[in-house]
Amino acid sequence: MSNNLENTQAQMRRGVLEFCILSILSHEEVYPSDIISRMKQSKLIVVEGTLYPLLTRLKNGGLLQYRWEESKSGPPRKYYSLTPLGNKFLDELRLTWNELVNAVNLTIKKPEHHE
Amino acid sequence: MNKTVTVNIGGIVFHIDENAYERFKQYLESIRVHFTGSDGRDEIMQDIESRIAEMFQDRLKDQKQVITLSDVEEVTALMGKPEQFGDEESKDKDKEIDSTEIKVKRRLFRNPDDKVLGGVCSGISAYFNIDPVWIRIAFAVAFFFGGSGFLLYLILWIVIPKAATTADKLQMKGEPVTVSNIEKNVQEELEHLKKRFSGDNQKKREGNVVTRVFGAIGQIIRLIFIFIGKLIAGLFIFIGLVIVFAMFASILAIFKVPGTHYPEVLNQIFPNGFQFGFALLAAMLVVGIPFLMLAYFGARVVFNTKKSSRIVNLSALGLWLAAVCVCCILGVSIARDFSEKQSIRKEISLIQPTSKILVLKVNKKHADEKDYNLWDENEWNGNLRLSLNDEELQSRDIKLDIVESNNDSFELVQVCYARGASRKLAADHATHISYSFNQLDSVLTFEPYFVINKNEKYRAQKMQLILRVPKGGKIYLDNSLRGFIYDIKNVENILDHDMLKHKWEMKDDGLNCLDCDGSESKIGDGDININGHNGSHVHIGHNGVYIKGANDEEVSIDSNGVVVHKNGKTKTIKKKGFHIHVDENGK
Repeated sequence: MSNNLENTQAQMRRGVLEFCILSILSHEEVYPSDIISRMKQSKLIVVEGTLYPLLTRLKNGGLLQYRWEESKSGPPRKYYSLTPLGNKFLDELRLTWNELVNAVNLTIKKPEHHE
Repeated sequence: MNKTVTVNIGGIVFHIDENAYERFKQYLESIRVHFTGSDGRDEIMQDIESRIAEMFQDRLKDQKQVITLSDVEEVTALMGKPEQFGDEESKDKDKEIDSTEIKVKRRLFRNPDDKVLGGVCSGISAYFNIDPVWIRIAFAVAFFFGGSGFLLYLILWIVIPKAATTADKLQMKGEPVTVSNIEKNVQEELEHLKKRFSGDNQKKREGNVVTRVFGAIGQIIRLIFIFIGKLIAGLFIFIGLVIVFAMFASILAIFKVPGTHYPEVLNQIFPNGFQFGFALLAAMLVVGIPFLMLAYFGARVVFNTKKSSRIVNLSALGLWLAAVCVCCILGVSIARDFSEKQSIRKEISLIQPTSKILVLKVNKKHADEKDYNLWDENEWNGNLRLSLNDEELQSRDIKLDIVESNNDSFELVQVCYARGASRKLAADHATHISYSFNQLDSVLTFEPYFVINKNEKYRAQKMQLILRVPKGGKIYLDNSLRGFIYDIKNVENILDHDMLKHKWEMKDDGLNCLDCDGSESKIGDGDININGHNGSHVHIGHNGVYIKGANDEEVSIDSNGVVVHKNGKTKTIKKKGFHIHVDENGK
């Protein structure tokens, strides 16, 4: 049972993960560690490893681009930003998200109406 | 105290404890396996590595210099196991690959955890994913067919490696080698061990007596095989080293030991000394490398170093191929220098002997009796040798033929042959041959060899001398002509070496022997003639066998049967079949 719960939770998070990352990237150019610290606050990401495959996939999908920046205290960093295509994609996602929130809220509230 | 390893993570150098390093490596490997098949794997790996490098660096502030196991554990926990990454796309792919890997990557091992004798059966059953009982039954049944099952089992026992590590065991079962699987497997093994050491191990031991006896026998047979293998390997080393050593020794000997002129004669073939040395080196490599590698292989088996060094193997192969190439190229270039043939013909007039008889000799002033002297023979390399002062190359590739003259005087024709890259060059080589002979009235003395100047190259120079004898002219062939005359046509059909020490006269039908006694062997057309004294004679020809005694007795065996002719009477034995019995009385 607990396994099932975890699974469902993970799936829910996964669904919105892309949306969140794109949203963060739409405000500013960031590098992965920043994204992680932001998302950890909101508990969307459990482990950091989740982020890297996702970023790579989005980049390969043409939604993201990056540039290298030297770091004083470590390896060079990749700074990610949205491509025009990514922006479009994000707008679509926003629309869907809003619809989804409404729909979910409606669905959740329904039983209360009944009682 | 802990040993540390230096690693480069994301371009930054870290000192890391050995155990921590192992763990970290495993972790990275599990990620690599997880992302097998997704196109961005290398990039993901790189990103994760540089992130980990960052985290490690955070941990190395204030005096701390070494990454420890706990650091690795913390960082990997933060990063998460690949299973937790939960990137849907790659996960799906991952699953697909896993399921195919079960089929593809399964390897055959002996299973040490579930064995009766050597774990062969359970290893096979794991490979085919069936219950080991069936395999065992099959082997047991095969045992009764002439013990073939037993033999097969022994062979498999020796050949199939034992699943020694956890990774091996996973591969045996066809499970992917991931960190989680390894952990799972180790856990299972621990439980297995615990069970073994708890109460019921007494019972198990007793049951294992048979296993242990067979195991011991198997072990002994294994050891014998290993011993034989090592013996053979030792032999390889011995052969390889001996041959390489012998090669070096002989090359040194050729160059250093006086009296052997082989390299100098060879040197005459190559355009220059450099090419000659190069060819010698290449030839040595071509022969030596395979034997060195044989010795190397043997050494590896004897000293149990399993992994052969790729660098050694590849460089040996490369060197060998290069040497073969050099040999080929030089060989072709030399062959080209031998490609065309040309001959130069020179007529030499002779002083006509007053006595109408010409005595032919070969000058052997320093080699006459020494002809059979081993040392003298050694000087020659085939037909070639260097003169004593090393100034010239001498060749005894001379043949003398004797034919009829078309006028009434003795004449000598000298034909020089040589090869070269072109016909002109070949002719050039041929004209540079110098040869001398000496005539003192009726005695014609040939030099046994012709001379090639040392600056000239050896290009298969040879010489044909043709002596033209007028009709009625007589010649005497001295014994020193042995090996010098070649295939001289004569009326008696006598072989060259039997023509020596005889007088010959040129008549209408050819050379006639003036003082032959019939004891010479003749050239027939496939027949064998042996002439004895007093007219006795044996002839073996394609028609049959003919024996003639000194007193006119004759026996002939041919298609007419056996015919015995004695004292004017003839007796014919003619029977079908081949069983002929003649008793003492001749019946």
